[in-house]
Amino acid sequence: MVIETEQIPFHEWILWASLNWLLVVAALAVTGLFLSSLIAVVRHGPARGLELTFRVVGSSFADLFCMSPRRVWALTWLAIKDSLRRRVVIVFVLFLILLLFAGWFLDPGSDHPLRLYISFVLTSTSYLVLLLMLFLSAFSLPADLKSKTLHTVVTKPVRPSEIVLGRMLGFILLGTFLLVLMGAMSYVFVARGLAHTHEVIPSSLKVVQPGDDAAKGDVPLKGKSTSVNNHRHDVALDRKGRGRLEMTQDHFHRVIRRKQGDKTVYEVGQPEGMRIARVPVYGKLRFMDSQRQEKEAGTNVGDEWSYRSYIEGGSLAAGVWSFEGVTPEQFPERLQVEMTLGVFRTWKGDIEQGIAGVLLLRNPKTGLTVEAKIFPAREFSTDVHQIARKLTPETVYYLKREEDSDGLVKKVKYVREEITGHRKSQYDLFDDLTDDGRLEIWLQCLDPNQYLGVAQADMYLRARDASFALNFMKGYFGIWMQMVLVVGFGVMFSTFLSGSVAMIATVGMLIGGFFRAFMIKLAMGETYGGGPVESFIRLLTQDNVVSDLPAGLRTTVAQTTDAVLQKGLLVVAKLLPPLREFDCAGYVAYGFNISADWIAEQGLTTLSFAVALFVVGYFFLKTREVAK
Amino acid sequence: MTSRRRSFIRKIVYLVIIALFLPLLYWLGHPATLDTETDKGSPGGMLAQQRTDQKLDQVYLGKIDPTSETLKLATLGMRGIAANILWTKGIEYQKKKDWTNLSATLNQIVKLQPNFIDVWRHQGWNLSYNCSAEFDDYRERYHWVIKGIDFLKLGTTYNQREPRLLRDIGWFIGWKIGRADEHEQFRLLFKEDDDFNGARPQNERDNWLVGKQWFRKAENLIDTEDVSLRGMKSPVVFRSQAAMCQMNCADATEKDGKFGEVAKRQWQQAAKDWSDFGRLPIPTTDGRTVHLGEVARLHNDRRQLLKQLDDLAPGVRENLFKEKESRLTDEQRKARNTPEHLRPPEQFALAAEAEAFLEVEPHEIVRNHDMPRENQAEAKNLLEKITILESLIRITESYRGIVNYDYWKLRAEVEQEKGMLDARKATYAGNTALSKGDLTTAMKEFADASASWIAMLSKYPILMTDRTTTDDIGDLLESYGKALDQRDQLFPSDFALAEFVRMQVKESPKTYQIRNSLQKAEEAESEGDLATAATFYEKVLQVWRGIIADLPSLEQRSDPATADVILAMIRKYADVLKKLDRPVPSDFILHQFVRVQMEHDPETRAAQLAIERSERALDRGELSAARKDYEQGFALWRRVLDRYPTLIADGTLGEELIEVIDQYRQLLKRQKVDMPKDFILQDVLDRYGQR
Repeated sequence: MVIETEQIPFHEWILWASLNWLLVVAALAVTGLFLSSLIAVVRHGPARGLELTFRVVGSSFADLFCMSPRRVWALTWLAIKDSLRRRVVIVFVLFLILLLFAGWFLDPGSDHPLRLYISFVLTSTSYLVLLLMLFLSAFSLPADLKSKTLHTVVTKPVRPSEIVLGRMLGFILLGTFLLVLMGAMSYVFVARGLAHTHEVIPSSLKVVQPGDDAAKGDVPLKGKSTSVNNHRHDVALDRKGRGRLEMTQDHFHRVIRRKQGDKTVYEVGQPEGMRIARVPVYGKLRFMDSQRQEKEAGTNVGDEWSYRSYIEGGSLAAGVWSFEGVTPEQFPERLQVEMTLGVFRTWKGDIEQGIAGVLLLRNPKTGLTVEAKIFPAREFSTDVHQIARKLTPETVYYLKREEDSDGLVKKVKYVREEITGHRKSQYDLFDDLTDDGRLEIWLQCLDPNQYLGVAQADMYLRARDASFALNFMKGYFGIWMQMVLVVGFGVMFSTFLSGSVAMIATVGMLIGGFFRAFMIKLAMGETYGGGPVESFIRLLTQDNVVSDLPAGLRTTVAQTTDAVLQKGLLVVAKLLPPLREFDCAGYVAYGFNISADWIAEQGLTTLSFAVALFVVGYFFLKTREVAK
Repeated sequence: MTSRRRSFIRKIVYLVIIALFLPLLYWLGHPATLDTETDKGSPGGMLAQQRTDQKLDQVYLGKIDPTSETLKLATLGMRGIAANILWTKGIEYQKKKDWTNLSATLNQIVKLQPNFIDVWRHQGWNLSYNCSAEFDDYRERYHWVIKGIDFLKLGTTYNQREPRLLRDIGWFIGWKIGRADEHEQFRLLFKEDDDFNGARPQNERDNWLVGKQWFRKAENLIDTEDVSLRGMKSPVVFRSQAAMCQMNCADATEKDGKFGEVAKRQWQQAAKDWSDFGRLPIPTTDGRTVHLGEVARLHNDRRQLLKQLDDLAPGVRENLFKEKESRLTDEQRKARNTPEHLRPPEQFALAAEAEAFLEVEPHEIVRNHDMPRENQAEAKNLLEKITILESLIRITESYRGIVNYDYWKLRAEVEQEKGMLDARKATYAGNTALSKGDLTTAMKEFADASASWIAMLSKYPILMTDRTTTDDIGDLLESYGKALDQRDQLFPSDFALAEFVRMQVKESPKTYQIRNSLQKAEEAESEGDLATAATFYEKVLQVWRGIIADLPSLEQRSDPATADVILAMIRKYADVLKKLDRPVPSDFILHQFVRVQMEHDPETRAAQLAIERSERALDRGELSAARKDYEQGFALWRRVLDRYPTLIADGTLGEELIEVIDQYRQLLKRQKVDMPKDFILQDVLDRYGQR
């Protein structure tokens, strides 16, 4: 699976994120206080204005910290009932219709059908729920204001904070309920959509070992299955007639041979191995060049997509992954290394043979390195290598220290040695090759002038498998967080804007949130063509985006203006929620467990935005006439 | 009137207006229905009829797919924009090698715009040629080639009247599978592909034959429906492709190791298909129609007409020719009189100029004052006919050139011959034996293949100049040479293809350079300017090195006569150097050639044996016998060095000889005898003895 942005562990993230959040909140609070004081002073004079401001700030503490749960719940329930009156159930019906006809648009014969199905259900759910929440949250308060329903509410002893929180919670609860229903239906849809079975073609079954007689039975057989959903499997049966329909389209089937009277039947089960949630342990990747000098990246082979760096074959160049937490508790029986590699050939070579690679295990402390596996690379598919706990390699590599007469280390050499009588011939993965759970895996390409392409996420240790259903739920949790933010922004904007303007503002936030990374890139000047003014000049003059503008007043003015605008854009972009980061459909679709770190980080991000939006919404509502 | 009543009346008025428009709407838009057993169908409303007349109706395009229609409706008329966005996403997916999403996106694009032919063609190509090449495993590559073909096949269900898609399918199945680097593997996978071939029998699962079927489908569509290729490919190329598939099938059958009747039948079919192609009317760019196979008849007709013209003006052609001949320049005349193989390049142009000038054109005869007055009207009439005919011949020949018509016609005929089938079979058997290390069988098969080839070349001399034939024989010579090399042998002195090799040398454009430089070298030598002579001899040998690079089998004496000519040239060069008292340069350019000749010279072997004998005698302590053998060996080496005078510059040999001379010197020392003053290999000693 392609992971272009590295996941930061929670313990590293939380400190930086908390500090960042506090700084932004403080900055916003100071700015808000300053602006509101300024407005009050202008409207009521300095003394009265400041007095009013401090009174509002003072009363807000009571409003924010002395809310009545009973009243909040009553308002929440009111928001739910109000939404139900607005026929939100239509969205649910729409979703049902989508699922009914989805089979038309999804190709179960795809090479990876689960990815298509998962992407479809998560994307369609996300679109429908976000749109629904956008409308509900943006139009609810303005409609109540217009119909004066809110006036009835505020005559009761309720705090403005309770109104805002009640609305937000109401919509969130409703959305949560919808998401749970949609999630359950999606799960059934995916499971049913991919369910299928095949038949074994008896005439295709051939003996595996020459000399075996298939007619006598009890011999291993190989053959083919019938084609269903545009694919067929190779069949492998053991002597007892048990076996598998081999891996195709990310799944396999179990098969068993039975006798029914005179007839032999083959019972084929449902697909397996498709709905999984691998728990990967990722390592840090660094590169060695052909002189065994450490490099940040490998060779660039000119691929337009620079995600992967390449390792030169037949040389000392290597990709080195440093893993932590490689313990017998985590990997009790063996180490399962999974890889997805790129291959680049500078010459045709042997067409029928894959490019050979080698995996070396290295103890980062002692430098002892053993050859674990030589394998032909398979591009664009996950290559699984089981490494037993006890290794009996043919070759070892180790660090040799040359000491002087005083016992000081003079030189450290890396020595390659064939296993001979005087060396230990068996190595224990944990005793010999790891140091306090740290292990290095070196990948080298063996074929001269050919290259293997790797990125950090291309190799991981598969610790265990988590529940797919739970992972699927986590995928929906990502949508839920996006929904919470839409509700938060919608309600916040609706406290001081009319319904349609609030909706446009929320849509703006949505778009900005989804393109936040691009906006930051733009604001940091990391895109081609300069800032808005420079780009505009280029458009007018039909100039290309890479050449420098001619030096002069025009360029200086344009670039100075851009610098100011870019700073503003950076502030706006930083204030927007990173909506794309909540999208974890890829993890579910590619069969990777969504980590607890991810859940915690995104959950806290959502909460921090929601709290800020609630507070801002409360102040806006409080300043409106109706709430006084 | 109350407002409620007003509202009611307004609704009634609206209903009446709607009711009035309904017949008009029905007349305009009611759909067509098909004939059934009980009811006669209806042609539909005016719009339906217009669609039918203009063949715009979906039924004329292809399948009506509910998914496609739903998607089109769902985009609310913005399917073009949606397709563009998807296209961009597709490019991004391809860049990031996300093949699952790329396939899904392409499916969505074609459902949005199922009748946009270029989308099918572009993306079909993209899948089969670009995406497939991204995979390292040839099985995956094949899988993606088939994906592209399946994509195009899906396109044909939506666009049943589109020959371009059928032609593309034919091309992908034929040329992509049959011509890729991995064509051997692809062809095997294609044969085993039950999903693609379905119920097609094994013996028909040849990619070229299946490709041919698709080309035929495209041809049938054009012939039976009013559709065209719309700007794609010239008709002549398009019409040749089905027959070319058959040719390639026959060729591939032999490359797969199937000969005899199987191969013969394929070539017979290829000849028939090519002949059928020659009878097809081919539209030309100037609006005429030509038949490629009729050029002989056209030439015959022209000859008849020219004869009739000559009969109208007896003797005029001959007179005109003589008059023209008298007007040739001296250079032109000289060039024309020089035999073709002796002409220098500049004379080729002059001779061609002269021949063109001497051609008596029909209009010159018609306008000649010797044409009898009473025949002038008829002559003009004949001239008009000849002019039209010549123009037709010109364009037909030009179109024949586009598809290499003559070559393929000849090839299909020749390949059916027993001699040719035998030659191919023996070559294949020889290569198979060579790859298994069975040199005896390999050499026998290569010798048989050479005999069959020479028989075919005698029967069809034109093949001598055919590139494919020369390449095929070149491959045979290379393989034969490898087998001989492993046995440390040269080509047999009666090698069947020696004459072919000689012809290749003679036909080589480099031969003229040899002749030219040689002439200058000999002139300089005769004038006593030895330095210039040496320079020109070097040039000659450089050209010979180029020829040997083109025909490496010459080194192993595939044509002994040519090899001897080269040796003679080397001796002349060495002779001049000797006269100049200059040493042969150590980087002499034909060292390798000379070394191979020397190694296979019987006297070299005799010299080596004598030295071996002397070493054995020395080991036994028989000093006199050893000395005798050494001296005999040196005498033999002397003769070898005299025969191959440039060998003296071969450092490796020099070192070897010095080693032997040192042994001889030690022997003499033991016998207390001095080294002879007139030592027979003194030149070797002088050149290498100081090292």
